[in-house]
Amino acid sequence: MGLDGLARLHGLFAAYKPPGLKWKHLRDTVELQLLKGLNAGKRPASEHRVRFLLGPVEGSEEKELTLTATSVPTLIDHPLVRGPAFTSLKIGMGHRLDAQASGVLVLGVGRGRRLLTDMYNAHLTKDYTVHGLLGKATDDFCEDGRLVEKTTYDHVTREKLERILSLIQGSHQKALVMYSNADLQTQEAYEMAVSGVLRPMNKSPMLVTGIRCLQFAPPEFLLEVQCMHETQKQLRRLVHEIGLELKSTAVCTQVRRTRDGFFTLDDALLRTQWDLPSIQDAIQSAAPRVAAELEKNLRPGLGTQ
Amino acid sequence: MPLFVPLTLLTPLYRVPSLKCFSFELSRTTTVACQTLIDALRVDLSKIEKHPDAANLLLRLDFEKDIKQILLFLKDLGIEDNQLGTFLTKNYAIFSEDLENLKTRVAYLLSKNFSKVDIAQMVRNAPFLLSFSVERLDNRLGFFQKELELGVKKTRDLVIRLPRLLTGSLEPVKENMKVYRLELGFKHKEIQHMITKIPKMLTASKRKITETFDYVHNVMCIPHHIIVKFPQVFNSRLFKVKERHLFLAYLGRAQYDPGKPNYISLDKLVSVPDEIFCEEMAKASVQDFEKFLKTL
Repeated sequence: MGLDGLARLHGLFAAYKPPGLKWKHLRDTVELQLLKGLNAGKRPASEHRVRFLLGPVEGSEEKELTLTATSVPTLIDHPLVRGPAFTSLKIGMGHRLDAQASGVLVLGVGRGRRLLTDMYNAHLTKDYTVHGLLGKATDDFCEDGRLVEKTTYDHVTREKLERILSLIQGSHQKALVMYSNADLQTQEAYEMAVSGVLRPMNKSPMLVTGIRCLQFAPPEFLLEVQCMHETQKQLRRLVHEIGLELKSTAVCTQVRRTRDGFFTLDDALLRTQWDLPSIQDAIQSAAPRVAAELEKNLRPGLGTQ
Repeated sequence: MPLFVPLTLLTPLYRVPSLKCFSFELSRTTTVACQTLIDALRVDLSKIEKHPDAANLLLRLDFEKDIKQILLFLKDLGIEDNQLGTFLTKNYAIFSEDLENLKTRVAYLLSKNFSKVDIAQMVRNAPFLLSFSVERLDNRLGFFQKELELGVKKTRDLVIRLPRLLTGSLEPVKENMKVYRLELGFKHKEIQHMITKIPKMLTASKRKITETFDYVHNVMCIPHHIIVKFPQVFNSRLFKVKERHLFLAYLGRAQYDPGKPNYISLDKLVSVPDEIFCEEMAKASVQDFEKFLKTL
């Protein structure tokens, strides 16, 4: 393996980050496991040097020692002198997830790190499932934060929630059009807006392209959010604001990313699969899809400047 | 007398094969000592050269005078040839010790009723043991006897099982004992029982112990007396315990009370591999477990 293992290790793959794990620890764990796999492979053959050694010549009757030329392996290539063949790998990270969030996390190895920049510049949307809990408000919008307020929630019904959600979606849709700098009077921009492809191709605040309620069982509710340029804290703040709009309060219990661009939950590798062969397979299987999607998204004419 | 190149010149050149000057130099110049260390004993020089003073020490060694005596002494003790490599990688400084001191220390251990086989095992697992003076070893043994109040034979067994206790620092052990007694609320007899089963608990990190106990006692609702029976839970990774407990709770099979049916013991919960866990305890397939993990 060794060097040809490294040759197949260039590209993007997705890992599933469990809650409670910092993204940096995940990156370091993946790097360690890959190094372990690469170092277990065969080392290339060591160099030989011609040395003149003293030794008895066979086949002669004299007992004198004479110099003979022999080829011996050099000590410098010995594994116990050089150490392991691979000591570090360059692994880049896609859109980050904070410690309490979980979900799909895109990583790039070797030449794949360049594709990470391309993915960032493509400004694709991401899917989240957000679990909320009605009845209390905390300072950091999470369930285990410092309690600020407790309210009743008997008056909250599913229709009220859905009305709020459609209001949010409407206002974000307006912001979407504004930030994408598109003149809706032109035919091209109108077609893009109709097909849902219109989005800002440079920095903008968090924009929610779609939000809907999947389950509502008071006090708990489950939302599915499609957004871009977000952080998980802003999503939790969104849950808090939804609670306020409902004339009650809410905290966020779980944020889980189900899709990042074109990587879905099915492509994400679990903790038990963070080893060399699985990651190589994941990179190989994702490579054609990655290339096609990036080419499609970076074509000129998308997102008017 | 052959010339030798300082080991610190051996920078990792793996990816730059064109720099042949270093390999050329080293090919004509090695000491007999280094050659034996690498070829015969399989000592890992790449790890040793990371320490700043190691190179100077190793290059001043003369094979006949220093190394041979100590190697014969170690073989006498019972350490096999193939184990000498790992031993010397950790404790290369043993070559600068006096042979008489080493013999005194072994005699001291024998006087404390450690058998020769036990001493060989202890030295193998804790290579720095013989570099400690007799007074220091005495103090350490005395400390464990007083602190744990286990009795002579049990203390001896504990030290044989985990000789790192004698070579490591004592502060973490004192801290951990306080944590078990005051923070977690175990009685002295319970702590003694847990330590004889899993000696590693004495040197585990405080944060890990408190987090594991917090989850097992408060979230999984397992009382003290059952945790005492299965101290392996303190040795395992917390995320494993969390994932498996949540899966069992989701399936409704999280039963940890020995009196009730479908009881699941804590030690099996943490120690068995995933396939056996899914098949026997959760009665589900591994794919279901993976799908569940992706919903956490």
